[in-house]
Amino acid sequence: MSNLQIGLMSIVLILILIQSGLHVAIALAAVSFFSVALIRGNFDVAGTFLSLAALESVARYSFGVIPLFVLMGLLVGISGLGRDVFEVAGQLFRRLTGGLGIATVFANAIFAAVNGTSIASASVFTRIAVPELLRSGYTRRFSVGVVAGSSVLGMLIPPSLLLILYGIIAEVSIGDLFTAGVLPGIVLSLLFVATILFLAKFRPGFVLAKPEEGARSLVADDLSPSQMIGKSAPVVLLIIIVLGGIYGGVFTPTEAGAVGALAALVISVTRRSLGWRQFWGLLVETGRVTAAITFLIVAAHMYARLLALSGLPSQMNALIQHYELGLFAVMALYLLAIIALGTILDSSSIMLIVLPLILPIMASFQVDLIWFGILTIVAVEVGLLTPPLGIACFVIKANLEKLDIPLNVIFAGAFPFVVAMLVMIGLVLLIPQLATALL
Amino acid sequence: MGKDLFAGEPSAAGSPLRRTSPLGRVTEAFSAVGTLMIVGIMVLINSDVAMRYLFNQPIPGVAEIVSASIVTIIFLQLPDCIRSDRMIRSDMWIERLTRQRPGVAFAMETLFNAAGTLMLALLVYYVYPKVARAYTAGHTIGVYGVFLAPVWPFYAGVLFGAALATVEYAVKTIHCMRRLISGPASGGAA
Repeated sequence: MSNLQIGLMSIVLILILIQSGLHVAIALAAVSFFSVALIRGNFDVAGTFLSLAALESVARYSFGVIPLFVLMGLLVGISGLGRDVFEVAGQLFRRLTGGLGIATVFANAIFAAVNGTSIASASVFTRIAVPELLRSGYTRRFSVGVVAGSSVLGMLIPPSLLLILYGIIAEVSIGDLFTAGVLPGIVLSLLFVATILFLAKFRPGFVLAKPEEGARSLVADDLSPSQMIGKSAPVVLLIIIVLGGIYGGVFTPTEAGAVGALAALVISVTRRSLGWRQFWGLLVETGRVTAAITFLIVAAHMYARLLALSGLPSQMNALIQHYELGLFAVMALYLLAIIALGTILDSSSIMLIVLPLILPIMASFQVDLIWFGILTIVAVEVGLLTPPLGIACFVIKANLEKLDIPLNVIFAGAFPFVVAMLVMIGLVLLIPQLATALL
Repeated sequence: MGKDLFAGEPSAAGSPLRRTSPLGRVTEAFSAVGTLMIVGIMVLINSDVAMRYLFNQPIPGVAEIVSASIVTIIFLQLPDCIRSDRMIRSDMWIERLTRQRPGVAFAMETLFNAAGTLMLALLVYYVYPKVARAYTAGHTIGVYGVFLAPVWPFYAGVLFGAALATVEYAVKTIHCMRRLISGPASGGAA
């Protein structure tokens, strides 16, 4: 077998093993280890790659962002800040048809700015927003769909664990990625709002259980202006500390994570939403999530070295030149591949497997890797909402507790937001300034 | 369902092991040390930021300590991560298999855990000489004259964590094999 064949076979093998349920990190490490041994004819280089990956691949200051932002996200999740933002947003948009849906999008966008994962957004807002939406006369489909759709903002609006992961793999500045994520995050939020307004006007049956009656606004729990300010203050403070700190050049992303986690801790303690036992529980959870995701990066490091050794990326480059494929064609193929993989793989695995292959090609096209990162994130996130493996929809299902809403209803409700995301991909593709303007 | 970064539930196939076993306690202790190191990093970076902005006096060596700690933290947490079924995997297919053909599913789980055992054992085997060399040669991190710390305590955490992770995978392998042998009656979805 030629090196190239070994490289191709290993990718196929990794995909099969992951699908059958082998731990993703073990699949990447094992296939890479034995493929390198096969290419070199002995185990020396494979062993060196293994020990390098373990001891040195993640020994960098910037990797500190992972546990710190995970901890901050978990603290924000239990602090009750999500509910406060949702109440304020509900009041702001209650006059509009579909107003509570818009409030959900708005609250999610704000929440995303203090929290790094879509999964956290989906679980928090399923518990806060879905019962409220149902009580106000929205359909089950729309209620869960709007939560699923707007949860993807969690990983696009910084801080975002997926942006961090991309920054690590592509070796670009995480601070720049965070800056680049802001405009697309706002634009996607607006697209979601437009989707809701469009549905409310032209497909009221999708949105409202009894379209002729409209939505009931729950005027009873009216907030005074001072209450509204009081409820938004902690979140605004966190956003200023974390994002303001990074954009203002006061903090590196790692420092922003540390300061943000401490601030979230102080807020949770002063609001009495956190006891000692619970804090320890959150810390243990932070450790588990950090180990799971970072060990994946360690394994992906070996896989990237295998790919380089097999010569596959340069061969793909030659192929692209041979067929005279332009950047647009390559990009279209890439985005389609990612969206297709999104139906069977989780977001982090897709990025770890595909990026080492495509990044050298993008480099040869002299593509702006920050812009490319934003495109990748939005495309990868489509997979969070599409069956059969739409993780955000599963998380919503798991958090619905007593409400019994079938998965297919959640997928159906999320579909209009998938369309909005596809439009968003087109927009970023055509207007790169969306990602690069703030840099 | 699949596992993404934050899927909270342990997977159905291969139930979590008993907490009270001596091995479980060692794993918990390792994870506790890793957890405390995360808190330590948070405190250290905050102190550094505060010292820098308030007293114009940054703490030397913070970047080096954080870099070295991250590696140690992962490997100290890894055994607990394996034990509590939190490794990232796609379990949609295997869960369906567990319902329909539990025997085949447990045979596969046995193989998967054996693969984990093998990879972690290989990692220990190839990492050990480097750790030993770092200890005997007195390798350090930091910049001479500003901040220096020996690197071996960090590496030792990696080595012992990886060794314990190997044991956890091995125990899981045996656990799955037992359920495979005892038959589908006791080997259904947990």
